[in-house]
Amino acid sequence: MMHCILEIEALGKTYKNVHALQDIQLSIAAGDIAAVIGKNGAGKTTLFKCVTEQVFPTSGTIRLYGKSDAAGIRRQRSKIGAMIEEPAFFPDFTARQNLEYFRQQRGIAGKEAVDRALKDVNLLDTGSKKFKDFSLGMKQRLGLALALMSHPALLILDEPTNGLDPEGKAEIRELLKTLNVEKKVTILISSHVLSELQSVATRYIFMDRGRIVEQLTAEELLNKTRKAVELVVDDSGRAATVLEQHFPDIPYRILPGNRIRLSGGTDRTEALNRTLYSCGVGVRSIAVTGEDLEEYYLGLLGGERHA
Amino acid sequence: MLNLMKSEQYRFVRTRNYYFTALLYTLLMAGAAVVLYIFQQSEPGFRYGNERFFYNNVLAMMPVVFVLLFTFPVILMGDHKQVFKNIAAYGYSRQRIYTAKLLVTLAGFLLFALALTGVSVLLGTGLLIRSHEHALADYSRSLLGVLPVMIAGITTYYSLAAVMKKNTQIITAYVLIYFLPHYVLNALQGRFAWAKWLYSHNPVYYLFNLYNEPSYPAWEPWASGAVYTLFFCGIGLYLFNKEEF
Repeated sequence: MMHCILEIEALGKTYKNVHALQDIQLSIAAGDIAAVIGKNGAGKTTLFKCVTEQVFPTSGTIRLYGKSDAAGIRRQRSKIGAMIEEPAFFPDFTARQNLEYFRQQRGIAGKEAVDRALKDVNLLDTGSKKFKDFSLGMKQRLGLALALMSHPALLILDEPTNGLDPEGKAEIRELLKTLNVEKKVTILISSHVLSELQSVATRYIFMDRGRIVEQLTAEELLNKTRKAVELVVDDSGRAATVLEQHFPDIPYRILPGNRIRLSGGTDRTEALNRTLYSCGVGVRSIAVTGEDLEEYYLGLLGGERHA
Repeated sequence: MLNLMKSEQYRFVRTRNYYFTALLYTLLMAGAAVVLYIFQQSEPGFRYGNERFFYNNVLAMMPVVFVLLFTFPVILMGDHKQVFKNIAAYGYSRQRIYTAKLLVTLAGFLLFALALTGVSVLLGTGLLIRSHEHALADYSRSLLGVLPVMIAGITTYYSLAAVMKKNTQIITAYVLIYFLPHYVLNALQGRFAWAKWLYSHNPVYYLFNLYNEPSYPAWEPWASGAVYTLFFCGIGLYLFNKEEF
């Protein structure tokens, strides 16, 4: 069993009268890629900021690598690479100068660490271009380079692919997978693009109004979302009559093209096939289909199209 | 802490505004010295083309100018404050961040002050007449006396910049805290004994009067500067410890 590297108990954060986080219970095991999902204002960024002490929690406990006292947890934070909200650097410095500043600050040996980090995010050729002249995508890449430069064991990334083109997004996804598989880096990530998270995450944490409303492993999510049966028949009207007579507990919808979508019955596909056939309905195909993460999220939180 | 200071030093030496400040200050001094030199050469009866006048009168207001010029780049710290979130996220405490940046700022200030004092002495000795034997020694003594109140001015400004967000707020607060009391106490000193005492012991008083024949013991500006420095350093640290990024 993987050991927990981050444990959060009863965490709360209040800004004036607004409860940004309430009673957060969370544990992240080594090797997880945990996706935090929620609408704007759900508390994702505040949660990340509390873990990295950019803001101070109002209540609760954070335990990082087994340490929860202020000094101990600060020492453990050197194992974290974080990019939260918009990357912040000195505007008049180049990418290399900005990273060199942080390399010295973090006591990372060897100037080549800077080049390595820039290479990882494809920013090696920015030359004398200053940070203030970077595009949003380049800024994101530099933020990611900083997060990676100290070889973190835990990466905390808040919408890391914001502003990147599709190619850049794919690169970052691959980079995260490689880091997780080859270097065993644990990743806590949020993104507005849920399909991106679905392709990398091993755990899902759904947040709403400062609370965690559900936590699932990738496997549990798969089981939960594999819940529809789609039939293609020769006569959808007749098929509907048979379904109402023999499977009244399974809700269904008739779709164009003689298709019927059943919300349930995934474990009774054989019975469905047999019954329809015996009642004279030709079944051309029968398949178990699922929702994607976005559909599941919308169903769970009633969210907008983007989290 | 040392790594933090090392990185701050890396940033400091690459901050162009400090060099512009030094250049501007040098040009002001050089301009004044050259004007005195030209008058000295062209007007036989001109009595002011000497070192003593240059040090005592022309450069009298320069420490004030220097504090104001030097604090200008610190103003920009407000724009860089978001960078602090990267530093805090790596596990550095607010106290270390605050202290490291302050120490590097003060060290930079001392270096610039030393270099510019050297330039002023070169200008004085190179262009102007040596009319008084102790002119340079008096100048050095005056500068040494004003050093703690200049440090107090920079620390006060740094403390405000560390906890305030808008540059206009910082500048207004700085003028109110550092300079305004001097004028208020000046207005009140005729009516109240305590106002008179405070007026003659506030840092700006020493800053403005350093070249007059000092009527106060040499330790007084040091004590006044130390009180201001420690007070604002402490207040700034207390507030910065609560800062969220």
